[in-house]
Amino acid sequence: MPQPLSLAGDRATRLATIRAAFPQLDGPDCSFVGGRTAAMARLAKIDPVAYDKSRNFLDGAVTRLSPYLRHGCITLGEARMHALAGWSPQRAWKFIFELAWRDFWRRVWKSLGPAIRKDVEKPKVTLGHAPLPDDIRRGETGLPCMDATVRSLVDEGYVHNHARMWFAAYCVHFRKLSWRACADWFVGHLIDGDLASNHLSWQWVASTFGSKPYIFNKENVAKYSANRWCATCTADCPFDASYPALSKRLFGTETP
Amino acid sequence: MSRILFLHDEMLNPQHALLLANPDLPRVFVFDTQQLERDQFSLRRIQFLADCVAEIPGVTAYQGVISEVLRELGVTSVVTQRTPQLHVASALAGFQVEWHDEPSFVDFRGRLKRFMHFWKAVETQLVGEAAAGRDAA
Repeated sequence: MPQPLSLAGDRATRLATIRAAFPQLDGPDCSFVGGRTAAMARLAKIDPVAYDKSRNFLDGAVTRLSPYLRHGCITLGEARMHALAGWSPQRAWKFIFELAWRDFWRRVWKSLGPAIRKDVEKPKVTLGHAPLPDDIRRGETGLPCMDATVRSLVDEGYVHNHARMWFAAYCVHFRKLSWRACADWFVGHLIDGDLASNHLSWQWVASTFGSKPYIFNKENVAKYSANRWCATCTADCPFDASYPALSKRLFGTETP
Repeated sequence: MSRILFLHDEMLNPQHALLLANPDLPRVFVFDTQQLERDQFSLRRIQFLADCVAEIPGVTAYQGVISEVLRELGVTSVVTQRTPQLHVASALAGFQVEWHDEPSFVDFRGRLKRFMHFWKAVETQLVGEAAAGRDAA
């Protein structure tokens, strides 16, 4: 008979139990407390108005509900009803709009099945297929903004959505890496990782599930990160250009 | 333990409808070693799962390959929530499975292409007519 894994007791004991049960894995303990109680506490703190205004900024009022939605601790419907109970539909609009994105991704996954790991559409630009290199995996690219994203991913299991997009664009378009290799590695670290939101977002950035590739420039990073890296960065910045110039460099045309 | 409520990692909620509807079924969760390794799950992800599972009353957690664990427990019949995660369906292929749909967020039966097309179709359902039509940008 298989032996049950005891998860009872305090959280420190539980985390240690899991660490002992998976000795091949290492790293810091999970900073997100799992479960519905934690989910409901987080839901009680959301502010859809502040979220609407600031969600694209790294220090904005993001909800961090995604790990709980991913694991069913709360449902999209509960999150929507909570927002509508506290705010008018106009004020809750953006929050509900983003909940709908999650529902859309999931419907697409159900429709695609295992094909979610392949190009949904023909790419609109030439994509690379290089495997994930060690400097990305270790967060040693020499670009503080990208390396910080890897540290957040690996150490915390959570990355702000805007930083996820920057990082995906860097890997796929600036480094010409395989979106699939990157997405497979990325999702394993995310506490909220699921193939729907993760792989389809990587495909959206790559242009295999969207009408054009997503790219960003230094001005965008500086603005939405409150200049946290750019102000002191001494790297030879590959993002320091206008969008047409970057597009020309990356895709050979100013308007892909 | 011939019939169980099988909890996979998308239904970790002590208020889940299947838990409430089946209070007498044994509740089983398996840390699927094959899937966790194949999908490169970090330690933190597995710890998060453990927090979620620990909060569900009466659930017994195991570590191993789902199909092997269930067979060793003498399981023949499973109640669970439908999921697009292929490894769950594959793991349960040798058992009699009663699949239940997950809670629906919105009613949509159109063709899935671009998000904005989907959003325009469901917006009124989700925010009402008075709030619908806002520019998404």
